[in-house]
Amino acid sequence: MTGDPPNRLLLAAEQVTRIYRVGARALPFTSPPHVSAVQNVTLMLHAGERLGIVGESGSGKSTLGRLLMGFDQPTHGRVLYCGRDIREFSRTERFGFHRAVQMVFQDTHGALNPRLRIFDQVIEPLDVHRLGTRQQRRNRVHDLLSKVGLPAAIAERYPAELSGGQRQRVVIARALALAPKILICDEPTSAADVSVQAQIVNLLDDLAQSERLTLVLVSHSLAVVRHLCTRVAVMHSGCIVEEAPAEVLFHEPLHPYTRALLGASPALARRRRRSTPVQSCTAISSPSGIGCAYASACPDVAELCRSAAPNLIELVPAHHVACHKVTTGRRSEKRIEEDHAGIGA
Amino acid sequence: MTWHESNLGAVRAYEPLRRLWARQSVRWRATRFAPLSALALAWLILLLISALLDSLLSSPDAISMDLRARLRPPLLFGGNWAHILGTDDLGQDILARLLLSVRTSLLVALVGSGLGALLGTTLGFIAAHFRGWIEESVQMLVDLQAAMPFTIIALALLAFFGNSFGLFLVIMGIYGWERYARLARSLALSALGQGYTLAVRSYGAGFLRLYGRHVLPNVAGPLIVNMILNFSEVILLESALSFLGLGVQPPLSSLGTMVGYGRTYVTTAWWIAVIPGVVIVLTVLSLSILGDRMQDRLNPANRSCR
Amino acid sequence: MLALVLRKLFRAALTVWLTVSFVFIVLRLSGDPAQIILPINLVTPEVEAALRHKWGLDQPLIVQYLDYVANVFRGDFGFSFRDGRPAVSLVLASLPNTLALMVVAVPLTICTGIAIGVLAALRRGRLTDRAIMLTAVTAFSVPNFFLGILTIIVFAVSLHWLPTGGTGSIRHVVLPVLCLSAAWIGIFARFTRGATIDVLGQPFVTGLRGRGIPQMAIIRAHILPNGMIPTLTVFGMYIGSLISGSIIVESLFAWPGVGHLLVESVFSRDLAVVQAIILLASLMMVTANLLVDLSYGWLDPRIRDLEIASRVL
Repeated sequence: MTGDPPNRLLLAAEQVTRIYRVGARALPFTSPPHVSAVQNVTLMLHAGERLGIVGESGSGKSTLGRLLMGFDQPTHGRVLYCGRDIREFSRTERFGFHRAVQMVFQDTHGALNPRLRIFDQVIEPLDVHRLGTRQQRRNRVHDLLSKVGLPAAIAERYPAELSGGQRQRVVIARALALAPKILICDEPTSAADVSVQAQIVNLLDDLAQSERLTLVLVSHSLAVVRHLCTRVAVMHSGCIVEEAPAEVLFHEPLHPYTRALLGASPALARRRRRSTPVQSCTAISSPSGIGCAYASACPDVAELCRSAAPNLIELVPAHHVACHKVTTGRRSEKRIEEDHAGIGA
Repeated sequence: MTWHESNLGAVRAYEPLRRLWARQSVRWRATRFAPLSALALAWLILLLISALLDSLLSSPDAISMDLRARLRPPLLFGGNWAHILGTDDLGQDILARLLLSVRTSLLVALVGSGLGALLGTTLGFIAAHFRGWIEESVQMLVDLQAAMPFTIIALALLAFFGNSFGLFLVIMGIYGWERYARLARSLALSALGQGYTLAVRSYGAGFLRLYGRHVLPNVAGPLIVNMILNFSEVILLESALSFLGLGVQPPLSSLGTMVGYGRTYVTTAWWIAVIPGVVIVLTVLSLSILGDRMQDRLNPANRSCR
Repeated sequence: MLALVLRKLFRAALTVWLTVSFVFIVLRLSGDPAQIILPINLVTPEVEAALRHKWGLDQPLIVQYLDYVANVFRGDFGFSFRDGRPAVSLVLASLPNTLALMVVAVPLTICTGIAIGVLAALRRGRLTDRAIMLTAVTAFSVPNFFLGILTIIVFAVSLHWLPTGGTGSIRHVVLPVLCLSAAWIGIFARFTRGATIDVLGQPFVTGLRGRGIPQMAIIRAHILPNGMIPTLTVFGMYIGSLISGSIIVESLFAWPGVGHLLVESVFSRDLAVVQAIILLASLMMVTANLLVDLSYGWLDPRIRDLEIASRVL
């Protein structure tokens, strides 16, 4: 369906920062209190890739997802689709962007309009984009429903009459209606119970293959990300602290926060001897602090960490990390050996 | 197009009020006033039917003067069957005039509250949708409208521009729009936080589709309640202005005009003023009873904390 | 807190300014004042031109507007077209009469409303409560002009207890005050009842009762202050409707106050007086709203913090 060669750069965030006002300004013309939910994030998404964005709640991962969708405008930096800033799109380009990039929403957040039948909701994107004849659109709806494993009869029902798993499938069907290139999934499984979670993950896996989708998965669940994704970015306090191919990241995490996160995940912690408790340190609590946002919770904090924020550095090809300790450690060969011994054991 | 939590100042000042009304109505129901709301509904239906019937019959009685039958009292106060509700100083039948007036008053209230609902809801949705300076300006208009002495300004406008029925309707429409706007904005903001509105936007649906098809049906309840309450307020304002002689003008007649007309005869023929006044009271009372009841029906939180 | 006060003051001033400008421009657009005032048969072009010049009507609208605003700041609202007296002195002459009505009506409304509301809340669900609330809802369904006519028919025409209108004695005050107050007693009662019921349901009230503290003490020290907050919200609306209510009531009872003056001026198109009254009314409303906003913070310590206050208000 997509004519793109693999590895073509589709979507990119360039040094994106999103600052939210929290509360009103004290006096007219003064600057209101603010917090940056996403801070100076650069992220590339290539065709055929499956990118996972993980982090705790409050780490800015959902905001990043929305920025990529164009739901929200970055305060600084820009989001590029096929090399064009999405804010500068013409009307037709924007329509094209909407067709190419779709989002799967969390069912718990009212992803379906309670007042419309399933059929009307799945057909609506086709109506908006005036694709095909009325009959073709109808058929497409039934195709889509069967693609996500739902019986055709469900089309006549209202969302309240469906189970949580069925609703999540409807949401996926609607997102697929325009045959997008990129599917951004915001916590697609967090609402469901375990068996349904597995079904949804498998469904996404299958669809990504059959529809040749490029996936972005925003999730706090490491297990889901590990199962689905080829590349993972770890977010903390609005920054990407580590980014690597999935296999590398899960076997050889470098950033202390990633390691703490992996240690805290029950499904992945089994083989780990030492686990540091994850100290929740959300963006709200450290908006303007200088230095590394993780410094207050980091077990290996050094003097430098409190005075200067680390940059995201490509240590090994395709493996980026933002940590003073790791980067300086890399420079002295000895530290690497220690690190590896520690992780590998 | 930002989704961040906003300064909901105006709405928040308004919400406690709403909630209080709502909580109140729960107790109303608990105290079993259900027969009352049936009566209220019956009265409004009667009013509506008589207004419609009257326009069908286009009764000539109203204008026909019977100078031999001037100032006849109503039936139970020494009058006769020819004029059940009595006559005025020109011998016009009060009942016939009343029906005409009910029609005008209902029409004014309907158009007025309809205009207000349209204007306010649209502006509220626009404020919620576009945010930024557009939202700020709408907010400012809302605050301005709420803080200015509207009745006095309406009075002055009607007097200085001379009375045209159109201007009068527009003024009635402007009255109360700010509450629709506040309500619509806060409702739209909460709807915009829902996944379905994001989804609708994500495939590029326009403003009309988003708000007309998705947001409005999901938030219509509170707006309808507000419309019912606003309807009765417009009736009150219309009748007050007409009473002063600045609203509906002589060829036409509204309930307020009738009361104002009857004011001269309080010493000799009390029924000329009292009968239309009673109709106003019953109508406003019925509307507020029904509005309260609907509000408590709509709010599931209230239903459970009974 | 200071920042909050300043912000509110700024907004209040802005509101008054916008209202006055809006009224000035719209009323000027309605027609040429000179032609309205002058009796048609007496007008010679010279007289008209002289008058125009005297009143500054030959200037462009924007100049007139700036002049007007500058004069308003000096306390000069122009002259009445009818008798040539300064508009300010006309308004100030009738203001005491209006204030006299309000000074009686406002405390009466608030005290009665709150007392009845608390009573209904304490007797919740019983006959007293139902009777009070039914009366309250009926009270605010009766338009004040109709209530005025009813009371005139009953107390003045039939029973001869009270005069139908005018001034002079305490007896003249009774009916106007009743008409100004009835609806709002009902509204205050209803809001106070709701707020009180909410407070009564709070665990700390149960705790106080458990410790054997007398009912009256609980009401005075805990329930009333908490119940005051929503009542305050209504207060701002109350002042607004008091102003429009006084127009009706004063003209109905021939009470020579500002409302009466307004109706007279509006019918004779006395521009300067109408504008002065609108400015006065909008100042009153804005001040009332300002006071309400600030007393929120004063009554509710949780709102004293600027951050929260700016959201709640």
